[in-house]
Amino acid sequence: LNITAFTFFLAIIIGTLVITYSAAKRTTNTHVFYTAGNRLTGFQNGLAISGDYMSAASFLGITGAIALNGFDGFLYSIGFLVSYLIVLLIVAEPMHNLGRYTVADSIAVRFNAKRLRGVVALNTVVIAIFYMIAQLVGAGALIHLLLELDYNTAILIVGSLMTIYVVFGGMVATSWVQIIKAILLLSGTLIISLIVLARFDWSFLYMFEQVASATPLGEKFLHPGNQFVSPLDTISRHLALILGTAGLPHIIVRFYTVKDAASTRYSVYTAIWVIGAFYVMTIFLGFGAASFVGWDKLQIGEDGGNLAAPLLANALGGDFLMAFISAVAFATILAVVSGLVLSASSAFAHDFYSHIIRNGKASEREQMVAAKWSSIGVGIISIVLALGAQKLNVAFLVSLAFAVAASANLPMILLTLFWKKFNTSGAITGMLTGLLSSIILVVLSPNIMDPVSGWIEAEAIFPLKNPGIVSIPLGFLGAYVGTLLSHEKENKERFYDALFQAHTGIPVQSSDRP
Amino acid sequence: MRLFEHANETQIDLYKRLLTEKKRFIIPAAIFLFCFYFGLPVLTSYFPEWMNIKIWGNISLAWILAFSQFIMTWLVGTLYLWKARRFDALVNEIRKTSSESSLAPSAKQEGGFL
Repeated sequence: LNITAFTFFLAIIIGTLVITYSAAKRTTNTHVFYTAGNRLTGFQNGLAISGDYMSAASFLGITGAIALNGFDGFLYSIGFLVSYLIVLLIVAEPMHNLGRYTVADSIAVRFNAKRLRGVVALNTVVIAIFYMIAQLVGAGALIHLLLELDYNTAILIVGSLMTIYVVFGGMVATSWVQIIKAILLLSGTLIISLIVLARFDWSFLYMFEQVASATPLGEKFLHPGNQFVSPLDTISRHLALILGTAGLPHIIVRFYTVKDAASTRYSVYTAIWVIGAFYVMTIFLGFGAASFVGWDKLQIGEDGGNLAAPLLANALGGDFLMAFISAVAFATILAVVSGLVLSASSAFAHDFYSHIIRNGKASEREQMVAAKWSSIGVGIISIVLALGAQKLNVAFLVSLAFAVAASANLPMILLTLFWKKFNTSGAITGMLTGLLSSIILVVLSPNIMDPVSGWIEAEAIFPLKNPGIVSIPLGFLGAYVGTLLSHEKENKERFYDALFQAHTGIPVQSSDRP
Repeated sequence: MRLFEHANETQIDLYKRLLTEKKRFIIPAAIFLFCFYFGLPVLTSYFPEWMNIKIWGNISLAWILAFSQFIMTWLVGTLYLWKARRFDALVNEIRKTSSESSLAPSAKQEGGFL
């Protein structure tokens, strides 16, 4: 057992539990549980959004992808950043102005049918579960390698921690875990970037020169086309990336934790700088790993480059730095999965239980109990699924989550905000079309159907790994056709009221927004 | 618009101006960022030879364009933040000119939504 690594991991566990303890004392009602009492500042929330978003897949996966595939690895990361402009310009402020605890709350200002709330909540849960399994399986493998703990033990540790944060500390604990993780991740990547740059005589140009001869790819390392060979698949992936973020429920719920539209805007603006700075630094990490770890060593292990960052830390700063970077990766995983637990359990407790089952008549105490029990439920389900998925290749689940967000949630959100004729039936058909088409196309794709290594051993029916280019238009089409075919009476007033509230933050209807 | 049965002239004016100004910024900005963003994967997928032209040392056009996506994101974001001060000012005007009561009656017709 690596003692330094163990100490760092323990420090993170203790630190986050202390945060949870102090958060628990403040989490006395559902409003604080779901939104941290709207008391986060824009800057704090911006850090939390970054912490919620920059997953282990970004930190470990993109570093590895750059180290192995050069330019294409970097290209992949850009979409994650630019997508925040869509969030900033179009989605964040209206969702804050309309909403209270969940995505469905924002939509309910215009359409309050229970069945729509049910579908929105279902999508939230589906996205959270896909995302979570990918994160947890990655976490298990990582901790297994770093601490030599058994995979199942690792999953149980991460799974219990995330559940504890959410059950006891709700949004307050989750936010602070995410804020601290964002700071740790930025410092960790900055330290490594500086060391890498120093090794290249502080010259960016020299680094580009050297890396061109560091790998078997040679000059081609710097050229596009090492990872993404099918243009259509590349475009499809980028489409899902840039439109997906704006539909991710665990990101949207972060807009409800600040007090007004201006703070919401400033949160996203902060996140753009933090996430951007991080992705710029992944170049140093990736190039550093390619140059100093050695290309052959990176290929080792079934995760194909996922350990590039810790290995680089080891090459640059020995055990100590490697332990620190591994602990940062651990904190990264914890922050992301607890955000997912919170968004999934709010869909269960607030949408399904309080609104659909109890008709909004549940007492504050009952709602609080439901929130805690559903967090425990989500935690257990995630752990069980992650334990079962150990041997499976689940990396594609993150892009599937983005595809569902882009194909099912985003069309519904955009049309609710901006299309006068849109109605409940349209919203439901659109969401279900987007959800089902994304999932079905992925099942028929080379991700799952592969004659050699697939879950289904057969030739893929749908040729693209990323369904976005088909499923996103289908999501919009479903919403459009569903609206036209239904006999619902158009309710223009409701649209104008929602539009007014979305853009001014002044509630037109007497909501019980605190 | 039912909402405006209870709102005064100034408010309607301000609100209309808010929507127009928002549209005037957001729609072109969104179209621009979409084109700018997809320019990169389209160019790297379909015109890889051009993208490998070296611009600065070993740094090729592809990398310059990739970096420019970051600059673009930060610039558009900053521009929006700056523009949005004007939106906030308009919203504050609307709040000031409306006592909440002038907007609330429409809510009573419909009943709460929860």
